[in-house]
Amino acid sequence: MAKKFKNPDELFKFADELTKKDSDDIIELRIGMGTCGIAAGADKVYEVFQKEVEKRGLKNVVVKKVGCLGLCFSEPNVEVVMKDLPNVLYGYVDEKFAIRILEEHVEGKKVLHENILDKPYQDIYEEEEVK
Amino acid sequence: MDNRKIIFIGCQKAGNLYDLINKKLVDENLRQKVHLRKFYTFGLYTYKNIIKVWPDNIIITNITEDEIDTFIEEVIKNGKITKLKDKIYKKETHPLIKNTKVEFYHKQFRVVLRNSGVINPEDINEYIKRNGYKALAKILKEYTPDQVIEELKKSGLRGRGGGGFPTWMKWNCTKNVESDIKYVICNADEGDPGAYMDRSILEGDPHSVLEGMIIAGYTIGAKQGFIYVRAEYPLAIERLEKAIKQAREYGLLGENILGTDFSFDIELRLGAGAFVCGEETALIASIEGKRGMPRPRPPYPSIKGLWDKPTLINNVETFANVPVILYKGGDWYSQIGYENSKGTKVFALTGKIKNSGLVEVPMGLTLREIIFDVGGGLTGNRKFKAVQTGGPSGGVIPEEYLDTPIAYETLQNLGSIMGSGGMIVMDNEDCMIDVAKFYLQFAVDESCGKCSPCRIGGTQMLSILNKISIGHGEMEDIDKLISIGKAMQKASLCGLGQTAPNPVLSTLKYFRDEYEEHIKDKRCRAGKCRELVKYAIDPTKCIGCTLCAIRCPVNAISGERKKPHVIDQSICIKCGECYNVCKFGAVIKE
Ligand SMILES: Cc1cc2nc3c(=O)[nH]c(=O)nc-3n(C[C@H](O)[C@H](O)[C@H](O)COP(=O)(O)O)c2cc1C
Ligand code: SF4
Ligand code: SF4
Repeated sequence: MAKKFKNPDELFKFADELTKKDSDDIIELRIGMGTCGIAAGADKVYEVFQKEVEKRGLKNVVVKKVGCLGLCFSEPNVEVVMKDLPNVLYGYVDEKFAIRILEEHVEGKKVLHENILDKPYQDIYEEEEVK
Repeated sequence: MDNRKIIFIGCQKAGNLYDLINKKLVDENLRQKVHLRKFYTFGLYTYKNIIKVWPDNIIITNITEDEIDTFIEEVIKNGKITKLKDKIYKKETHPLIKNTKVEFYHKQFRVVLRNSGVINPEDINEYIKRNGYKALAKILKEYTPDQVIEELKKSGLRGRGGGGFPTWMKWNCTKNVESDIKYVICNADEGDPGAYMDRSILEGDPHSVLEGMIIAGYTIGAKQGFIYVRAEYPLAIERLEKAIKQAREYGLLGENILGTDFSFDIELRLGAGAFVCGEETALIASIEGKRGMPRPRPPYPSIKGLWDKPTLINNVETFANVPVILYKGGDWYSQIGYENSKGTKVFALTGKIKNSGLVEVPMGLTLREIIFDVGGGLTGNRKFKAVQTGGPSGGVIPEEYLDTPIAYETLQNLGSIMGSGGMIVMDNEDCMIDVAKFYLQFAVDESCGKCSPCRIGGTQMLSILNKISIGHGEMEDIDKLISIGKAMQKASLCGLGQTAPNPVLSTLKYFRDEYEEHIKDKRCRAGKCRELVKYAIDPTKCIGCTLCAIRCPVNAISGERKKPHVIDQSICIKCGECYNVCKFGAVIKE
C-alpha cells in the first residue's frame, strides 16, 4: 500500500485518518520484544499469542511487537490494552501465563491476580494530542 | 458488564496492607463488591503504600493501617473522598518537568523512549499515529533552517553521546560552512560495557532517529545520511532497514521529500565493534573504508568530516530528541531538566540493583532517586558502596554524593562523567581496585595504539594495578598512577586515552584507603582480589558434611565425615566454590 505523500498536509491528513480508524473494540497485546525481551523468551510468548488468537478466532485482538519497556528484570513483559478494563502490564510472562492472559483477561474480562507491574511512567502524549 | 471497582494495592512496600484490606472487606461483607489485586511497584520509598483505584483513576499514597477503615468507607462504600483527600496523588508540575502534568510519582519521564513499548517499531503507521513525522512535515512547510536551529537553541539540547556539546551550535556550525555536499551521521556505535540505551531506542522506535536525521539534513543542507551501527546489533539493524524502506515508500526519504524540493536519503554502515570507532573522527575514517583511528581535531567534522566534507555527527539519543523538540517546541523541552542540562537522559541501570533495566529520567534527579526510587535499591538490600557512571571514560561516585543532581557539570565535578548512560551499582563485595582494573583493561584492549600516552600510559597503569591486586604494590605506586593518569589526560590524542585514567583516578580519590590496604596490609576487603584472599574453614562451624570437599576442583579439602575439614593452602586455587556451597557458613574468606 505504498503511498507517497505529495505534500506535508497529506501527512497530517493521513495521521488524522489513522487515528479515526481506530475502533474501540480493538484489544491490543503489546509484547516487549527488544533484544532483552527476546532473550528472555518473548518470541515464544509472541508465537503462543498469535497461534491462540488465530485458533480462538479472536478477530479484534491485535498481537503486537513493541520495543523495550525498560523493565529488564521482569521480562517478558506484556501489556493488555482493552476497553472496559484498565491497561494492565504483566511481567514474567511465560507460555502458560500467556494462555491465562488470553483466557482470563482477554476473554474472561478479568484482571489476573499475578505478576501485575506498575507501569513506571506516563505517556507524554496522553494529556493532549493522542486521544 | 462487570462494573465493580478494581483496587490495585502496591505490594513492594505495602507489607500486609493487602491482607488487612482484604480481611476488613470480608468482615464487612463487601468483598464481593470489588476486585482486589496486588501489583508490584518500583522502589518509591517516598511513598509507602500505593493504592490505585479503577475506574476512578486515582492513586492514593501513604495510607496507614489506621486509615483502612476510612479508605473502605470513602472509596468503596460511598465513593466520596474527603478525609483521604490529602493522600490522593495530585498531578502537579514538578520542578524538573514544569511543562506538563504527567504523573511523576514514578520519577521517570519518557521523551526519547516515548514510543518504545507502545508502538510496533516495524510499522510506520504506528509511528505516524503518535505524531511521527509531523515535526518534519511542519518544518518543511513552515520553517527555515535558522528557525529549526532557533528551536534547538531554546530547547537547550546537548549531545547525548558523552561530550554534552550543545546540539544547536554543532548544527549551526555545519550549516554555515559553504559546501555543495554535506553529510549527516548518526553515531550508533555504543561500545561502553553495560550500555544499551541506543540499541533500545533503535529497536523500539527507529523512525524517531530517522526523523531527527532528516530534519538535520534539511537544516544543514545535506542530502545523504549514514547510520554507523555495530554489527552486533542485528535486531536494531533489521528494524532500521525496515524503517528506512517504509519511509522511502511514503516519500519521507529519497527524492523530493513530502513533495518539496528537499531530498535526503539514509544508508546503514556496519561497524565491527571497536570501541574507538565510536570516536567521531575514527568513525568517519571507518566509513571511508580506512582503519578506524582518530585524527587530531581541529578541523572538526563540522568543517572537514566525511570525505573532507562538512559533516554533522550526533548520537542516537540526541537525534531521537529532535522530533519531539520541534513538535512540541523548544520552550516545552527546556522546561524539563536542570540548570544547563535540559531534557531527559536514558540510563542503563545494572549491577547490584533490584530493578535492572532502562530508565529515562529528567536531568536533575539525584543519583539516590535513580538508584533507590526508580531502581528499587540494591539486591538483597545490601549496602551501597559506589555507582559507576560513564563506563570506561567515567568514574565511581561514593555514597556521600548520592544526593547530587544528575547533570553534565555535576558529574564532571565529581570526577566522573554523564557518558552515554551506563550506570553500574556496586556494593561491599565490589573491590575498587578490581573495578578500576576492569575498565582500564577495557581501554587498553580498545586503544588504537596511535599515540604513545594512551598506548604506553595505559599499559603502565594497568601493570601497576595488577601488581597492587596481587599484593606486590608499594606506596609509591599510588603517586605513579596519579602522575601517569594526569599525563594521559593531557597528552592523549583522542577521548579514549584522555578519559581512560578516570576510573583509576576516581577510585583513588574516593577509596584511597582501599588501595593502601591492598598495598600495606595485603588485604582486599571485598574479597575480590584472588591473591589476597584466603579461604579457611572454621572448625567450630564445620559439621563435616563433605560437600566442599566433593566440590573442590583441585581436591584441596580433606577431613573425615562429620569432623571439621581443612583446606590445604598450597593446593587451593581460590576459586571460591567451597565458600559458595557451604550451607553452614563454615568457610570463611579472609
Ligand atoms: C573512545 C570514544 C568512544 C565513543 N563512543 C561513542 C559512541 O559509542 N556513541 C556516541 O554517540 N558517541 C561516542 N563518542 C563520542 C563521539 O566522538 C561524538 O562526540 C558524539 O557522537 C557526538 O554526538 P553528540 O553531540 O550527539 O553527543 C565516543 C568518543 C570517544 C572518545
Ligand atoms: S588516545 Fe588511544 S585510542 Fe585515542 S588515538 Fe591515542 S592511542 Fe588511539
Ligand atoms: S577455594 Fe576452591 S580450590 Fe580452594 S579449597 Fe575452596 S573449593 Fe578448593
